[in-house]
Amino acid sequence: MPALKPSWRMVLIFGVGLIPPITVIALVLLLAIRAVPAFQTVEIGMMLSASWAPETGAFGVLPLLVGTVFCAFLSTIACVLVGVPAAVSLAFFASTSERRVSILVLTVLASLPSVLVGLFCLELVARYIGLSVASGVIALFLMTWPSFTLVLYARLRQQGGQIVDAARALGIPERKAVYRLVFQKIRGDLTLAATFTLGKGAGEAMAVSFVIGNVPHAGFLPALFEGAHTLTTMVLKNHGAASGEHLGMVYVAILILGALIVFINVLGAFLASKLMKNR
Amino acid sequence: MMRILEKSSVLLPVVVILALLSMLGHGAYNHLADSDPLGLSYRGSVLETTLNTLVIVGSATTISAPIALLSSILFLETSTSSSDSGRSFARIMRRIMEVGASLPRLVWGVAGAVLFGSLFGLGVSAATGIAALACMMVPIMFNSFVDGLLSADRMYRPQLSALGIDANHAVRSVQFRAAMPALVASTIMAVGRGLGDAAVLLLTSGVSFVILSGLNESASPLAVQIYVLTMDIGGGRGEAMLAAVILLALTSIVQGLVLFIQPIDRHDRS
Repeated sequence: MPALKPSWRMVLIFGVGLIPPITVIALVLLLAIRAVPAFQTVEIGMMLSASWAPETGAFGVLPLLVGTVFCAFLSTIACVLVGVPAAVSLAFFASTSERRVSILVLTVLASLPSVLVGLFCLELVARYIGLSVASGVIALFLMTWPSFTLVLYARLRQQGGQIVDAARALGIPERKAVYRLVFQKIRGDLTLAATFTLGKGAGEAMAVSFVIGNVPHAGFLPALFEGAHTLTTMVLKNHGAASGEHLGMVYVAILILGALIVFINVLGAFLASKLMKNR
Repeated sequence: MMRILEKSSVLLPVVVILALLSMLGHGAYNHLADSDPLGLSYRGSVLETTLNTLVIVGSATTISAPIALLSSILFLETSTSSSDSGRSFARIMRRIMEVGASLPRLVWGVAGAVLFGSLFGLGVSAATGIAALACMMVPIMFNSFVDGLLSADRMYRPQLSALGIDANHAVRSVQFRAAMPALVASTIMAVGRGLGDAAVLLLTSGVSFVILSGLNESASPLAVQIYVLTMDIGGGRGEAMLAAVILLALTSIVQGLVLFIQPIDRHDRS
C-alpha cells in the first residue's frame, strides 16, 4: 500500500471508515422509527394474541415468533444429530481421500444460494411431505448443516488430536475418548456452533418460504405437517403489498427478528465463554 | 451403532449434491429441449438476468470492498493506539460490525428499501438494490478483513519492531502484503454471498427479467428470477431450473477461486 500523507490518510480513513458502523446504527434506528406508529395503534395484547390475519385487523406476531423459533430449533437439533458424527468421522476416522471429498462437497453445499436449496426442497421434499413445517425444517437443515459440520470438524482437528493420541497410548477405546474427553474439551465451541446455527436458521427466509406453505397457522405452535408462517416468510410475502398499520407491523416483525438473532448470538457467546472457562 | 451413524452422515453430503445436480440437470435439459430459453421473450431471458446479476453484484462489490478496507484500517489504527479511548472505540466498532454481519439478509432488504428506496427517493430500482447489497456486504468483508490483517499484524509487528522499523505505514505495508490472500478470498466470498442473494434484491431492485438499461429501473438477478418463476409465475419452473444451473455454476466458480487462494485442508497436504 503506498504511503499517504498523514493528513489525507487520516481524513480518508476516518471519513470513509466510519460509514459502515454509522450505516448499521442508522438502519436499525430507521426500522425502529418506522415501527413506532404500529406500537401506538396496535395494542400489545393484540400483538401477543394467537392470530395473524391482517385483513381482519388481527396482528398477533407471537405465533410467527414461536413458529420461527420452533423451525430453527428443530433444524438445529437435526444439525447436531447429523453434524456431530460426521465431524467426528472426518476428523479422526475417515481416510484422507474420503475426508477431502466430503469436505469439498460440504464446502460447496455451505455456499449454496438459499433459492437453490428452496427449489431442491420444493422438488424433492415437499412433493412427498407437502408444503409444511417439516419441509421448512428440512430446508433450514440443508442451509445450516454443512457450515455446522465444517466448523465442528475444524475445532475437533485443532483440539482433539493430542487427546486421541494419549487415549490410544493408554489403551482407551478411540471413540470413547472422542465422545467423552474431546467433547468435554470443546463443549464451548459446540455450544457456539449450535447457537450460531440456531440464529442462522431463525433468519433464513428464501429457502423456507419455498416449502413452508406461507399461511398463518392456528394457535401459537404450528403443526409439523401443516403449512405455517415464520417471521421471515411473513415479511417476505407481506412487505410489498402492506400499507398503514399492516406495514407498521411488518417493521415490528423485522425488528423482533433482528433482536431475536442478536439475542441468540449473545446468549451463545456468553454460554460458550462460561463453558470454556470451566474447561 | 456409532460407526454406522458416522459413515451415513459422511455420505449424506455426497447424496444431497448428487440429488441436486440430477434434479437441476434434468429440469434444465427438459426446458432446453422444449423451448428457446435464451431467446428474447416478453419477460426477458436467463441470459439477461445473468448479465443483471453480474452488473448488480459487481457494482455492489466495487462500492463495498474499498469502504470495508478503509473501515478495517480505521479499526486497526484505533485498536493498536496507545490511548484507552481509541481502543474502546475499536471495541465498540467491532461489536457494531459483528451485529451488522449477523443480521439476516431480509433485515438488510427491508432497511435498504426504506433508506434508499423511500428516504433517498430511489424507489424500487437497480440503484436501491446495489446500495442495499453493498451495505449488506460491508460488515461481512470488514470482519474477514480485520481477522486477516490482525493475524498478519501479530506475525510481523514484533519482527519489524525488532528491526527498528517503527513507522506505522511500513508495518501496514508489510501487513497488507502478508494479508493479501485473506483479503482477496474474503472479497470473493462476499461476491459469492451477493450472487446468491435474493432476499435483499427482491425487496429493493424489484422484478424485471430484461437487461437493465439504467440504474433507476428495476432489474432482477438470477436468484430473484428463480424465486419469482417458481413461486409466482405458473409454468416457470423449467426456466427457473435453467437459471438455477447457471447460478450454481457461478457460485461454484467463486467457491473454486476461494479454495484456490485459501485451500481448506492445507494441514493434510503438508
